[in-house]
Amino acid sequence: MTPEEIFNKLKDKFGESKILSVHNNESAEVDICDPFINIEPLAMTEVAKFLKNDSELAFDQCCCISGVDLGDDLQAVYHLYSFNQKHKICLKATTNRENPAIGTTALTWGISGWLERETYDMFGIIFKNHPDHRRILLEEDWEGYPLRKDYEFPRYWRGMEVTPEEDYGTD
Amino acid sequence: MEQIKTDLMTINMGPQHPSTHGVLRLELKTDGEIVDSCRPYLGYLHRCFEKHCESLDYLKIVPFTDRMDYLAAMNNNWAFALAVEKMMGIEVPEKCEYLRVIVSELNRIASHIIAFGTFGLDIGAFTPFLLAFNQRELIFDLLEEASGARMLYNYIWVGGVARDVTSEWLKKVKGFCESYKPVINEIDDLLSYNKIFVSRAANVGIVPKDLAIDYGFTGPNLRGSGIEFDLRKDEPYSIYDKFDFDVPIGSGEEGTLGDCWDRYMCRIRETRESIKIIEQALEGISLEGDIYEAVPKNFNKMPKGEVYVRSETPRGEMGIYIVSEGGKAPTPYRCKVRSPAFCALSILEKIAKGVMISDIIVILGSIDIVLGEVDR
Repeated sequence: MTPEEIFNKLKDKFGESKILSVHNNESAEVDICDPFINIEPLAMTEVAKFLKNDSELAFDQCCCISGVDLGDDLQAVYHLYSFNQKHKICLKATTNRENPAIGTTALTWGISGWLERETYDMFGIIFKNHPDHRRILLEEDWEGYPLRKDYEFPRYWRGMEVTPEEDYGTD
Repeated sequence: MEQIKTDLMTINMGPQHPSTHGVLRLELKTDGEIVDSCRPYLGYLHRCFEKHCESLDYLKIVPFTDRMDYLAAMNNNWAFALAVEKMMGIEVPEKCEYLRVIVSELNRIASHIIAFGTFGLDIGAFTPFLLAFNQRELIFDLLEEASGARMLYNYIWVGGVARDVTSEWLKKVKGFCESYKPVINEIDDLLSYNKIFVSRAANVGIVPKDLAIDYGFTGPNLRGSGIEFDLRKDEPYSIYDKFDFDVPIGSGEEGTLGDCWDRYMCRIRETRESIKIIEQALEGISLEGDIYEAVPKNFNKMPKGEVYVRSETPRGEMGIYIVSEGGKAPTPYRCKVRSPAFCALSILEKIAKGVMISDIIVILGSIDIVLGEVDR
C-alpha cells in the first residue's frame, strides 16, 4: 500500500482528530524525506494495534523508534515494516516539551518495549502504560536526558569526575 | 513433593562473565537450575555515540561507527556511508562499489567466525574455535593491507573508499577464498554435526517465526527462524543485485525450527555464500578509475531533511536515521542507529523463563551480540 492509502485507511478508522496528516518531500517542505504520517501522540497505542492486526496493513515489525528534539517539541519517529505485505511506513508523534507523553506501542510489538525505554532514557518522553518503564542504557539515578539539545553535562556523578574542569560549561 | 515451596535465588551473571561477549549483566532469578526470570542490564559500554555525532561532521563520524560493532567495522562504515550518500544523492564509482562488497563480505566472514567459534567455545568445544581463528587472521591480514588497520578500518568513506588496492591484493583475496572452503567443511565435521554439540544446541532457545518478527530479529537470527529475508536480496543496495547467491534459512533439521542450532547453521552457510559473492566480485572488478572521485570535499550541499537507510550487517539490519538541517550546519541534527544486536537481545527476557541456567549461555551465544553495538 502507498502512504496515502495507509493514511486514508487510518483516517477512516480513527478520524481526523487522531490521524493528523500525511507528508512526502513536497508537503513537508524539505529536500528529502521518506513519506510519513503524523499521529496524535496519545492515540499511538490503538493506532499501532490496528496497524499490526489489520490484514491489509499487517505491519508486523517495528524497525526503529527514534526520538528527535525539535526545540519546542519532542518527537518520536516510528519506522515500521511488514514482512507479509513488503511495505513500510514512517509514523511521527509530536508531544510538548513540558509534559511529554506518548501512548506506548510495547503491548503491540515486543521490540517496542526496549526501543521506547531507550527513547525515554535519552529524551525523557513518557510512554503511557508501558509495562516496564525504566531507563535502559544509563543508570537509574542519572539526571537529565542527554540527547535533548539543552542538556548540560554534569561535572560530577556519584563523586566521580565525569567532565574535566576545563571542558565544563563549554558545550 | 510438588507442594513444597522453594525460594527463588537471585544470581548475577556478569558483567565480567566470559560468555556474555562483552560487559552485560544478567540478573537471574532461579529455582534450582531452572531460570524463572532474566533481566538484562545494559549500558556498561555506552559511549554516547549519538550525542557525539551531533558535534562532528559527516566524514568524522565514520571512525566512530567502527567502534560500535567492532567485529564488523566495514559493514558499519558502509551502513553510515549509505545513509549520507542517499541524503546527498551521491553516485559511488563502480570500482568503489566492488571494493566495498569485497571488504564487507570478508568482514562478514570474520564476524561469523567469531560468532560460531565462540559459540562452540561457550559450549565447550575448543578446537573449532582455534581452527576458525586461523582463517580470521588471514582475513585481518588482507583487510590490514587494504586499509591499514586490523579491526577498526575507517575504510569506507562517504562517496568512496579510503585507499586503493593492487591486483596482487585481489590475487591474495582469491587465494583466501580457496583456503577457506576446506576449513568450513572441516568445521562442519568437527562441530556442526558433532553429536554432543547438536544435543547441546538443538531444541534450545526456540524462537518461532512470529516471535522472531515481533522482537525485532533480523539477519541470521531471523533466517534461523525460517524466514527468508535478506536485505541484500529483498531490497538490494549497492551492486548486490549483480551477484548470484542463496539465502540460507533454518529448517529445524536437527531439532525444532528456530532453535540455537538453526541460528548457528545459518551463519556457517552464510559464510559460504559470502565466498561466492567475493569470487563473483573479483571477476567483475576493474582496477581503473579514481576512488576519490565522488568523495565530497565538504558538506555544504547537504540537503535539509531526513533519511532512514537499512543495510545488512553480519548481525542483521542496521538502520541509520539521519536528520539534517541543511547545508549551513555541517553536522547532523540527529543521528540514530538502529542496532540489530540491541533488538535481538530484547528477546532474552521473553524466552528465558523455564530454561536451564547453562542454556542461557547457549542462547546468548546463538544470537551473537556485540555489546559495543548494543550500548553504542
